[in-house]
Amino acid sequence: MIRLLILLGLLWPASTSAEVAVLGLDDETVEAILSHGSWPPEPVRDPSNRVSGDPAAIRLGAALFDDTRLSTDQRFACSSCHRPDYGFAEPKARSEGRTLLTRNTPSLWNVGGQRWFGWDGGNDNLWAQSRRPILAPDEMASDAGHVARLIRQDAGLAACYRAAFGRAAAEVPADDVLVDVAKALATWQETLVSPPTPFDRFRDALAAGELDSAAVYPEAARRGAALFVGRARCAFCHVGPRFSSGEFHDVGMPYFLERGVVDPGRHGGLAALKASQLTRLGPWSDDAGGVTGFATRYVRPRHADFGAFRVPSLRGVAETAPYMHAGSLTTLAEVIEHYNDPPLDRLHTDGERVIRPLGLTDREKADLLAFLRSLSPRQPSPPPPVPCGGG
Amino acid sequence: MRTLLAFSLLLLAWRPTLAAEPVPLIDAHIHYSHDAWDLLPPVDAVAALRAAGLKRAFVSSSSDEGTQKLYALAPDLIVPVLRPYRARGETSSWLRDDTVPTMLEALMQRNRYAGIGEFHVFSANADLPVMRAVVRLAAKHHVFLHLHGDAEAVERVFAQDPDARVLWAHSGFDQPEAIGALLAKYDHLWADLAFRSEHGADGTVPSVWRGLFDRFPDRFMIGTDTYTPERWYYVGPHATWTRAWLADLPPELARRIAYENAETLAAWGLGE
Amino acid sequence: MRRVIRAALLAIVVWPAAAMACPIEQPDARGDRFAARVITQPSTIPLNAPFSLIVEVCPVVGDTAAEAITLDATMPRHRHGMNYRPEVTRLDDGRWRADGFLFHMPGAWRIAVEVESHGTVDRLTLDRTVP
Ligand code: HEC
Ligand code: HEC
Ligand SMILES: [Zn+2]
Repeated sequence: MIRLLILLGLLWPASTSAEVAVLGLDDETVEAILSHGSWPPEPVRDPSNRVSGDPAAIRLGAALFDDTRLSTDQRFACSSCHRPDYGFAEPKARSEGRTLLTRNTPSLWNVGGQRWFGWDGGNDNLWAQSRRPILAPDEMASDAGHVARLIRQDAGLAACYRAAFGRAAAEVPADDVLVDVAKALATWQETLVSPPTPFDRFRDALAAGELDSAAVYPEAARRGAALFVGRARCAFCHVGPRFSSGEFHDVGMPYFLERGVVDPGRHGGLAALKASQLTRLGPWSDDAGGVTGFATRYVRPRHADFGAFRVPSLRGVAETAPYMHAGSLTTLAEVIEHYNDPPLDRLHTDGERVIRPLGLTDREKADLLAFLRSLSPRQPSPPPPVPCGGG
Repeated sequence: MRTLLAFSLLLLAWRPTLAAEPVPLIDAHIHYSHDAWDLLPPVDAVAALRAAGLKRAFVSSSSDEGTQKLYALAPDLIVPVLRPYRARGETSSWLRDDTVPTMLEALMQRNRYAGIGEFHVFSANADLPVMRAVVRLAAKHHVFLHLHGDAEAVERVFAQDPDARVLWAHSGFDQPEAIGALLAKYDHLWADLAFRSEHGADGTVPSVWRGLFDRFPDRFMIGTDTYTPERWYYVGPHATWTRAWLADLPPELARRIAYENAETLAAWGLGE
Repeated sequence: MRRVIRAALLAIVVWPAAAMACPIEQPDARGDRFAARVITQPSTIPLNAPFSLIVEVCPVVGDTAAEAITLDATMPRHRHGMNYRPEVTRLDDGRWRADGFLFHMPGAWRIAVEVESHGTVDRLTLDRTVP
């Protein structure tokens, strides 16, 4: 029976792809394009967060995300940097907190379900990553006592907290309230799933063998998609429906911050992970057996980690300039130039063999750009914030 | 008697502190290339090496000017090695550039070097005229060759000059068995362990590598490979990582890999 | 059509093996002294998701037993390995199990089985492509 299903499963795309050759795409290309869908993925709950998916926690998280009172001097809310009108990113190269920060603010679309969080993967779960800016001295500069007081004293937040966690914040130690707050923030961010894009409609039409609908996707973008999964080798790292493996690479971007100071990238991220109590294997996780702790349990330190950064998702990428971990490239065209003519002398001969000069023509660069633009939904629509009662 | 006992107890109690004294290291794989000079001026570069607790460092740069800047500043620390590249990114073009031997000869007349390298050469390219000239130069000036390439390239160099001394960069990224076979075949072959980690991940040396180190205690040395300026700030973390797996070896063997083997090769090349 | 036949064959080959039985008739990997049958769980290696290996190791000649095995994988063409380090445990039936595999890139991977016995190592490899 299972064997029959496998047979059927393979027969299906095989027969459609043969016909699709009409659109100028060979079998292999079609198969590769199909691997970038479907979208959106099935919603999954995070077992390390007991309120993941809980509507009351989502409401609390939504309210807090926009609340400057989380920072001691009311200067920053999460949304000050993760701007809902800017793909939950920021039109700045390096973010500015109380000082100039070291990295670009990443978009929060589709942030749930990642394997690693932060450009350096310093956390293996979304709630730990959400607690980070609250405590960071350069960002919200807050502490558990301050956050717990806020939750306990604001009637609306207190009610939302009780609804989400089934207990009154006043009866919970401040450290626990802080982690709960982070878990509520995570739960809300998990709802930030971007809508399907022109690329997704193309991909689904290919999958269904509906060539007429597939042909609606502009020809330039179609050629760009073929380049992306083919000769330009982008899909070795920007894999799957998220267009990211979630792993760490050095694509040749500089990582000096100033004279004498570098951003160690993944090397620092692993050190932070190792020191953290807030991992999926740690005491604050609600995933008792650490079943979802695969990545942290088996992760392997490498010399190449130094100066490596997480492969960003490319969904909605046209909306979130500037690019790369320190925002050093201002446009997608510049990113394409970077890959077309990479700084080979920054790459070890036995390092990133996938990054090699591409020799793209102007038309091919335009095609790749058209493809990247097609990864954005027509109207990216952030969900409206839902206030907590009297908050 | 009791004092003696007390004294030895004291010694025992002291041991951890003694052991915690960082093992001196010689890093055999450092580059200081032209793009490093702005954000990592020579004083910073030397400071980074000293902060990592290095006794010495084999430095080769594209162009050689970088090495000279550091050597002028810290002759006790820097073991100059002459890189046949004028700029970075010449890792494959240099073999077809017949002005390279003349450039090297001129520099070797002027400056002091322990070796020529690190250069990249694979398989049959090791028999190209430029490479042959480099092998002759090394013999003439009594310096070693720091070769990044496969086992075949190493064999071809030794075929040209059985008395050549070769430091095999990254141990060729080869398997332990293959490294062992080559070391057994050539007495004048050394191997650096730069940019590889399977011999010491997690601070333990797997039995295959332990066997290899035991068989060739005089031939291995460590290295970071600072292939970008930023990676100078990895020399320190790399030294810490290195000390962790060295501690898993018998102290005498650890010392040889940590610095003695490199010291011997440097002394030979510099005619010390 | 050819693809379909290949898939059917794969489905048969990948069928869960019973307990250990030496010698292995059609090994997935063969070295100088040992041969191995390797089953992945799930049977099709997923892209960018964890999977495990179950490995049977038998001597090719004689009856030298494998004392320990190490499992790892690389992409030879890209000259890099995995970002995760698998851990091997011995099962009650004499087979070995490795958890912690993850192929983060599509393309050609090489799985290496290092079999230790009497202080020497036999390296067996098998190639797998992840679409
Ligand atoms: C001062 C600006 C700033 C504020 C305020 C801020 N962030 Fe961020 N955020 C950043 C930057 C910069 C990064 C990248 C950090 C890194 O990689 O180390 C980031 C990263 C993240 C990530 C990781 C995304 C990913 O793809 O891995 C999450 C999640 C996140 N922030 C959530 C939050 C939440 C929740 C808040 C409020 C509690 C918040 N941030 C407040 C600037 C900010
Ligand atoms: C070796 C893996 C790898 C390959 C191949 C690769 N990328 Fe990337 N990509 C990355 C990493 C890692 C980053 C982040 C780098 C950094 O910040 O230092 C990135 C960043 C980007 C960004 C910026 C996104 C953002 O939000 O900042 C874009 C756009 C992009 N890549 C597109 C491409 C295209 C187009 C190709 C093919 C021509 C490609 N990538 C090939 C790994 C890769
Ligand atoms: Zn090298």
